Amino acid sequence: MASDSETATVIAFVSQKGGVGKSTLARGLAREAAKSGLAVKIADLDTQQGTSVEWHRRRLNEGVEPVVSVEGYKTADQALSQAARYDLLIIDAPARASEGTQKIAERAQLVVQPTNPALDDLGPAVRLFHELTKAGIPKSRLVFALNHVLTETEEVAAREYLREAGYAVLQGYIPSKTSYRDAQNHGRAITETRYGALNEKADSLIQALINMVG
Amino acid sequence: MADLSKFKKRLGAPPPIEDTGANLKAPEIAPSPVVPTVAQPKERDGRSARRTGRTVQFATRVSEEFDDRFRAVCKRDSLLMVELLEKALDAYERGR
Repeated sequence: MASDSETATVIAFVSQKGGVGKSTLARGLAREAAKSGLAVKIADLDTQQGTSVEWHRRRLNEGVEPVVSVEGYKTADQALSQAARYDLLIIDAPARASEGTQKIAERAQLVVQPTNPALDDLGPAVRLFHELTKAGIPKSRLVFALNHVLTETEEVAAREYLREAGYAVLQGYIPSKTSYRDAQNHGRAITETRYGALNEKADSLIQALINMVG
Repeated sequence: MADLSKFKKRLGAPPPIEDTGANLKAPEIAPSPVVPTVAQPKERDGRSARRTGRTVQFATRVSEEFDDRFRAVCKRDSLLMVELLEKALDAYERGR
């Protein structure tokens, strides 16, 4: 286990909009980390919705292994103060940027912003990263992840848009599939669906994310 | 093979770096929405109406004769019961 807050890795999932996949990716990463034997915690900062906290309850009820630790926190400071206790602290931020988002971004080794490939989501997503850049967060720590992708064409267009904006985009993407939803409805992660191909797709995106951590 | 890449579906230009809001200045704990408060009438007893503040419940027991007489006057003069009550109170105050 990490001995102090400087050595603990913090990976944050942020966004300005809801429903883009923060919790989905946070849980996928947490599951892979737990399976690798890391001391990992998801800090769910959206206390109004508690998406990951609820998922954790379903996971426990369904008896899914490995157990992934999830806890709700009211503020970024409260969550970040826990970092020293884990190898990896995963922040599942609220669907609303605030002072807290900046605090998280200042501490996190990697800030992942999932986004749907539609302009309605891409525009606000780019603006949030622009704001973080202006606030002094290095672009090398900001990365987009494409989620809910319906077609390859859609994925290519969205990737091009985000790169043109000046930001990295994770290799791979999460396609829009009912099986991912089904899995999560039963306390499983996106790497734990009934379909090997979907699990691999999710796993490769998560690996690309891990590769980004400096 | 012909290069048709220029026909590729594009999403247009992303917002420039200058085009940002002030989201990072927003308080971390979202303030509760301001709900306009309706002026509440002074509470006199447990039965005081509190819904709109415009009127309050007013009820009392009267004799059957008074009720007949009161309603008959209301009907004759096309008054609401509350209007007759108000006039009666005014008349009482004036003659006191």
